[in-house]
Amino acid sequence: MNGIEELAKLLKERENKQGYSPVFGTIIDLPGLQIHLGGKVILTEEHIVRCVSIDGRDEDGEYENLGKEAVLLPFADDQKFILIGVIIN
Amino acid sequence: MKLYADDMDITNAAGGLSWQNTISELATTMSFEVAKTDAKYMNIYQPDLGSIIRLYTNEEVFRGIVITMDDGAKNSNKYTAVDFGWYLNKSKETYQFNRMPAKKVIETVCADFDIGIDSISELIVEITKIYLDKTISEIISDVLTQCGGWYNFDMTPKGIRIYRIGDIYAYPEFRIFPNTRLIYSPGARGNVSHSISIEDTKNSVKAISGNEDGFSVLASAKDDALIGRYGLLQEVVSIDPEKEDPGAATQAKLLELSKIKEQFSFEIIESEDSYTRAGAVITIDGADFVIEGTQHSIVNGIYKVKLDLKRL
Repeated sequence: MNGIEELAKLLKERENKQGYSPVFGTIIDLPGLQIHLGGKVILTEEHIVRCVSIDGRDEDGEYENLGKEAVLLPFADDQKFILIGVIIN
Repeated sequence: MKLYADDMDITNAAGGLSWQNTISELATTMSFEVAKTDAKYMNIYQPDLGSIIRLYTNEEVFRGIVITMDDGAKNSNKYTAVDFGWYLNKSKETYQFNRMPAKKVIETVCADFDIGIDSISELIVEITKIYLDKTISEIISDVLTQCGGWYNFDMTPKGIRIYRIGDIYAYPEFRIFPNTRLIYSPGARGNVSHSISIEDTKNSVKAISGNEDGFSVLASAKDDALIGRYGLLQEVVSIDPEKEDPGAATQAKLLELSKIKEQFSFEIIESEDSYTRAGAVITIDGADFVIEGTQHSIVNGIYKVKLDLKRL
């Protein structure tokens, strides 16, 4: 490995990480939680850690949060997500 | 040998041709000059940014695109062209794969970006992972890491080529005269540089786990013969015992770190119809080396290749 290549490797290792930000997805299934992140990604129970309960039902027995936007924080190299809430319209 | 720009033969007007590739870079980079003139009635084709450059020896060995042009000089323009591996870290996409075989994952990603496929090893490891806004090269590298072993990928004129290091052997040869026998090029190597160093070597590895009870040592491995010779050089790695076996992990880490760093490079002459690329394995004096990088140049009609090697 020549010097320039070695330097390039060191710079590549120290590249700025992408900014950390929450992601949004649509709740498409309850109670077996499924969240559509847009595009090709559908998150299921195994990906999600819940901080809030979203299983509440209204007087007709329908899930209140079905179809709403959920707010998630990615962790573990984008393989897991913390569900921190649902957007109130 | 022929050099084409946008299907126009520029071999006679081109000079200073050289190209290089390494296993840690995505693309082969080529540089060359093309003569230009301000004389009337004389027309030399001048490639432009985006021109497709192709190099033929006995077959097409390079196809790429001009990404930089230096046209300040009076009599010639300088160009830099890269092969289509360059595009792999320019585009990003989001993917989710559920138990999809690694080979199929790579084929899916390539199909979405219209990347041709030259050849892919049989990769049967099943991939279950989410990639959020990752470049194509990051996805492919990550998939190959999950497959274990040591894989490399590069671009040929047909498309992407993925192979295990050790599957492709290079055997560069040349003739002194057209009517003499072929000679194995490394047998007549020049400008040899070889050095070994223990600067980054470790001969003892300790695995620790950090949890709420504090740190605890899970396993350790050491190479007593090397410690006796070079003194104790210890590395501490942090391991999650639920994910991997501490004993096996420390042994693997020791094997990786106890290697002596060896740098070996030299120049050879190669016949034009053979092409030695980074990623191939070459046998020198009975030992196998991986070619980490190659620099090809054609000077006064002689095809020279500089090889950077690493012991396998």
